[in-house]
Amino acid sequence: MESPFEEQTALFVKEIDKYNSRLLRMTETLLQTKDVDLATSPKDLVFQEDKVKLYHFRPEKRPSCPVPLLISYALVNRETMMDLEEGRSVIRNMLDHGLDIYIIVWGYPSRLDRYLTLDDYIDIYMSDCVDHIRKETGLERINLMGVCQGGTFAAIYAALYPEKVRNLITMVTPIDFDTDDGLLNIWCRYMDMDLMVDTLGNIPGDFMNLGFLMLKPFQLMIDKYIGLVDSAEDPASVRNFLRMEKWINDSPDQAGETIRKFVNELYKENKLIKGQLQIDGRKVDLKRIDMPLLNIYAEQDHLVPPSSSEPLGELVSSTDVTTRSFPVGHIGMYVSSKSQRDLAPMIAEWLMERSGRATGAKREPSRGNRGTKRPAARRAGRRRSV
Amino acid sequence: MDREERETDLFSQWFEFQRSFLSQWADSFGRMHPPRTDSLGFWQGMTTPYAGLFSQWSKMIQETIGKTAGQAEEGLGRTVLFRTLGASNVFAALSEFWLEVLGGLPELYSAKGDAVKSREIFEKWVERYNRVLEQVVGSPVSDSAQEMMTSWLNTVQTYQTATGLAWNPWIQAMPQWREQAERLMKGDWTALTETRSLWREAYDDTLGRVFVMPAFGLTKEHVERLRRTYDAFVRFWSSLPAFYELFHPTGMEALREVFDKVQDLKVEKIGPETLREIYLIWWTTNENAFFKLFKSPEFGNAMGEALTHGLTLKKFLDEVTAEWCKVLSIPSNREFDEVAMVVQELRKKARQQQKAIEELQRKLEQVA
Repeated sequence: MESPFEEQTALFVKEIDKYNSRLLRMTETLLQTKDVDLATSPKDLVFQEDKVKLYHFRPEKRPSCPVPLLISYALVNRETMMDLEEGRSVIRNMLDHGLDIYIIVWGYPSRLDRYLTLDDYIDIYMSDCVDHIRKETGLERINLMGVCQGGTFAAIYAALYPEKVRNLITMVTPIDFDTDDGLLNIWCRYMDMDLMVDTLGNIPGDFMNLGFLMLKPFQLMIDKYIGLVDSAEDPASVRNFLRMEKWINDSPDQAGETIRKFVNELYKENKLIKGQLQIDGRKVDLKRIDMPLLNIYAEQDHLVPPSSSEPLGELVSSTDVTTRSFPVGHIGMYVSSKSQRDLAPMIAEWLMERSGRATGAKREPSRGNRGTKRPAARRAGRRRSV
Repeated sequence: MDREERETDLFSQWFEFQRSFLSQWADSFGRMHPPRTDSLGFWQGMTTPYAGLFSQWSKMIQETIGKTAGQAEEGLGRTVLFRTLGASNVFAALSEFWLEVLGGLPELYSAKGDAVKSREIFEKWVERYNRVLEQVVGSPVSDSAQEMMTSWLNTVQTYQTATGLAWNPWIQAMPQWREQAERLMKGDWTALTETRSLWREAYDDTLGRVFVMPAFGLTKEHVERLRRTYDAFVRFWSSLPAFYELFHPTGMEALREVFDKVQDLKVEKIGPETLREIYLIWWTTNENAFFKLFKSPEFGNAMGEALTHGLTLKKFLDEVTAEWCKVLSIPSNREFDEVAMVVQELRKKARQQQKAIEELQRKLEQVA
């Protein structure tokens, strides 16, 4: 008769045997995959300035939204997350819902770019991309959507140039940096950013990545790989994993002067919501954001906690503010099945309602005559979960 | 009591605490599952028949995979495979630890009252768990991140060799240091604290005094630069243990929670029955424990200090390297940065002029 321990051991051995068999099977799939493609939705390069590129997506059908949407992603990691793969692409979903989409690709800064500033990124590159689209379409104002750090840029831009933004969307965007809910917010307080930039020049993408992995070390450095072994028998699932893995490890270096200002003046001093941030000598006043605002955040976001994103609605002067949250994490916002199903239609619907009919460009009413303002629905409808 | 004694004392208290909680846990667990005599007989004389079972197995599998992977072309799949193997090592080490614990329970139960025997078993458990923690520390991060973590130290090593200054004899002359280094290699993280104190003490009394002395003569600047770099190295080196030593108690505290959770589940008769269930409890508990650690000011301060000393060291090393490279016809980073600054200013001027031209053209069109 076997003892309980012998029985238990036998079960454990079987379990490990099963695990090892799967690991061996998965090896074949992995070794056969040299690389995977990301961001495959067709698009055209329409404008370039230094390393920054502006792409225009080619929709399969004529866009039904008359005002184009410009997406500004973060400098950290790549915008490819928005178009990860067929079936998990926020971009493709939004195209299918009739939006006309442009996206800024910030590129990979080299040592030659270490003196690029936050002001350059917002007041030159982003500004020139917006102007290019305005010129190309003949519209005075376009729709602007910023994601993560790109959302902070978009909010700053909209505050500087409200006359050029028709509708503003911020997604998982840090605005209030003085919170203890996020490790990044805490860690930044202990970092000597001046010494770091003076010593390293640009901040290496791998250094940033290591920091992100340390936010959830057991999940991101161990468990996800153990979970991968479970999907050994499904090559498609393994390839999906590889796409995500490729994205995570594709981290551009951060231009030294840009990250210095971003960390020192935003993370450490929280100057944006205090109205003390200056871009190119001009104060950024969030109250100047008077266009309709859709602020979307992730309820389980470990990178940009809700307490950092949520306050934006309270800081602007828009009378039309919609705040929405999704019960997902930061990355889940782009790839989870829930967001795939609900996010794009929600954004498209919100924009369509506020972008007017398909007007000729020059016939768009001037700002003073805008008829798209919604009545004071500011407070109502906040914190609604989709 | 001086600082070193206090730290040693803290760690001995901590070790006793571990023993005490493991003992209590084993006792209550044993009451729920009293050992049968036949199982005791089965294991008698076989201290750890399963020791190394999973890790040996895992090693064998990895060697097989490694041979294949070694012949395969580099690529994303191969990189991810190696990361997965790293994670699998953690899983194997944890499984083995768990088996060790379960296997030791009957023995522990029967050795009730035998302090020496109990201590032996606990020490074995702690040693085994240290192996799990080791695997966690060496778990898969990207190659370049690993490179980054070690590059500063590698640079220092190269630098030492190049300058011919003998750190190694100094280190080797300290038997205590060697002993602690060996303990550290075996996974005894408490050695870190002792090492740091010892290092700093020895340094302050010996080379530290030399390095703060002003230099004279034609090579004054160069000598002072070198001394400053060595001083930065020592400060960086001695700041690392304060950073890493927080990990070990957090890991052990998380283990205590894992034991508690498993016991609760057993009481409620809802598992865990499989290694994966135990693993799930283990990693989620650890994630929470480390999250709390990472949020703490102690961690923030230790991280900030290590980072500041590491960056200072790199800054000084870069300066020394630039000085050496002066005679070579290659541009230094500083020169390159000067070019970058000029390029940046030119970009701005070009943009301003472009805007001015566009504005003039617009006005011309209006006039025309």
